[in-house]
Amino acid sequence: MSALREFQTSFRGYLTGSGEEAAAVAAGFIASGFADNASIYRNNVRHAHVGALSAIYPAIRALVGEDYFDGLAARYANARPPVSAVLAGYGAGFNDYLATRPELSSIPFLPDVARLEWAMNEAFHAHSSFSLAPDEAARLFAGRAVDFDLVASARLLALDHAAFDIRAAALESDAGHIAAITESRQHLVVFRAAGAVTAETLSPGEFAFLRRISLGGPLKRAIAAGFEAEPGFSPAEALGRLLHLGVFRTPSNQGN
Amino acid sequence: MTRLLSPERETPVTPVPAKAGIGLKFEHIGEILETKPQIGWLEVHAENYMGDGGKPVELLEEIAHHYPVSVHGVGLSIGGADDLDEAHLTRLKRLVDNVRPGLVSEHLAWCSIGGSHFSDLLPLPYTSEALDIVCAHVDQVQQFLGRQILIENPSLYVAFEASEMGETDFLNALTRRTGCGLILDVNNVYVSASNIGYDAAGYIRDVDCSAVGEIHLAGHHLKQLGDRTLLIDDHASRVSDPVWDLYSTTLQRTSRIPTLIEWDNDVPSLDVLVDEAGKADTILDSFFSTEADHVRAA
Repeated sequence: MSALREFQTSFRGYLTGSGEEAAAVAAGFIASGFADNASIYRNNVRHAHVGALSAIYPAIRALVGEDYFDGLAARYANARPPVSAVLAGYGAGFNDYLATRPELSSIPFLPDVARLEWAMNEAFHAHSSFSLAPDEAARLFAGRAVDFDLVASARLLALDHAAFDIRAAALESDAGHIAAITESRQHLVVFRAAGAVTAETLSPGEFAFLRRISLGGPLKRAIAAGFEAEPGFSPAEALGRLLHLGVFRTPSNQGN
Repeated sequence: MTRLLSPERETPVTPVPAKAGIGLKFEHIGEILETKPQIGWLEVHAENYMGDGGKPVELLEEIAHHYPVSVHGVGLSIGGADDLDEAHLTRLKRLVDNVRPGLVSEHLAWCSIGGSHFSDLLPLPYTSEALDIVCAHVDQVQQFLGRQILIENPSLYVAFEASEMGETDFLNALTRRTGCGLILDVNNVYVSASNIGYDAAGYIRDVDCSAVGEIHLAGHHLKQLGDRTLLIDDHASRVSDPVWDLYSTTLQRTSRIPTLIEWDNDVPSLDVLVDEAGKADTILDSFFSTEADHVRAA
């Protein structure tokens, strides 16, 4: 192993480990009198990673408390450091990590709220695509069987808890509202329209309809999926609402 | 060895003027686009604009339409023992091709090893082995981008037993061997000189100022660690008086080149950054003819 690699591998252990590694790192590489200063780098790394997770998961931070969140995020970062310098993509597995923490088992909705916040982060940074306006859809598709597609930022979530409502209440520090939320399973579409990320609740039929569209294939199969999930599903009403929201993209072959 | 591509193959760029610029903060973008303040140029951290799309990318494209831009990377791990992350290099090239910045830069530092990334500019011993690795990485980046890059001197909190040369010798060899330029971060020089124990003015004297294509200025704060006082390069305050003095010392040895005001934490209102840039412009004007409004396009 080269000397540079040996140092950097050793320093990695210090950055993600306990204070005991500092002495070993210092003994081998850092000049006498400077060992304690290495903590500056470890603090910087911790600050950056905790800050990145805080920015992506503000509701989780509000729900568990800032101090607890910062400690939890630091442990997560030590166990699973980023694999890229682009921190907007860091923290995809945080919901799974929350689910493994026994001290959080009394807050069972946390992983679902984290899934929602991650989807919002993904939508914020996703490829840009134009939403298909209702009147444009009517013009383009009049008299033709045309397949729809979702905007590139769209993310579909089927959650066991009412994460959308819980997140909104958490960001308003409304603990009373969270306690009063009785709705359980929730279907959501998260997407970016006009530069802003939004989440909308869906009926089971709408969710199945959109999920089928996201997988590709003819519109009639999506409609069938909607009926299967929700006997009272209305394709016309769903299409109208979803077009109005801006969930569908303008077909690329239409020159937009 | 210099491996730059021939000028006709280089990516077209919007030159960065030899004036003061400021680091672009996301919270200021709306105000800048609305009021178009008199700012010489803007520098962005590359990694903040490497998403697939969305508002950051769209706003940066609009900013680049109105202002000269410099792209400053913090994540390539130029000083890392690992190979450069080709996916990251590809993202950087996509950004550079899209924005066409006047300057592209990175750091004499490492930030990843063994597939893990640590979001800080970590120090490396100045050895011949490290120099070979850094030169190879800088060559690779310049080849891939088809243009010269600038490398910034770090702020240091530790020194290494293994170092075989001083930082200025390391940087001077790097510029000779690769043809890269330098960002001379005057605050970093001041911070490192205090923390490691060398003469800041001597550093300015020893570094090859003809290779310096950009100057950085920023604030620092004092931190007590045991019985010692460390200077922390936190980019969270105005430039200190000793650093302004060192800036003047630096300008005695450079040509008129772009100067950046960095402020990344506890970010103040835009007018504070514009005011700091105004101070730098005043000093620049006192050293150089305003008619000779050179531009630097790496």
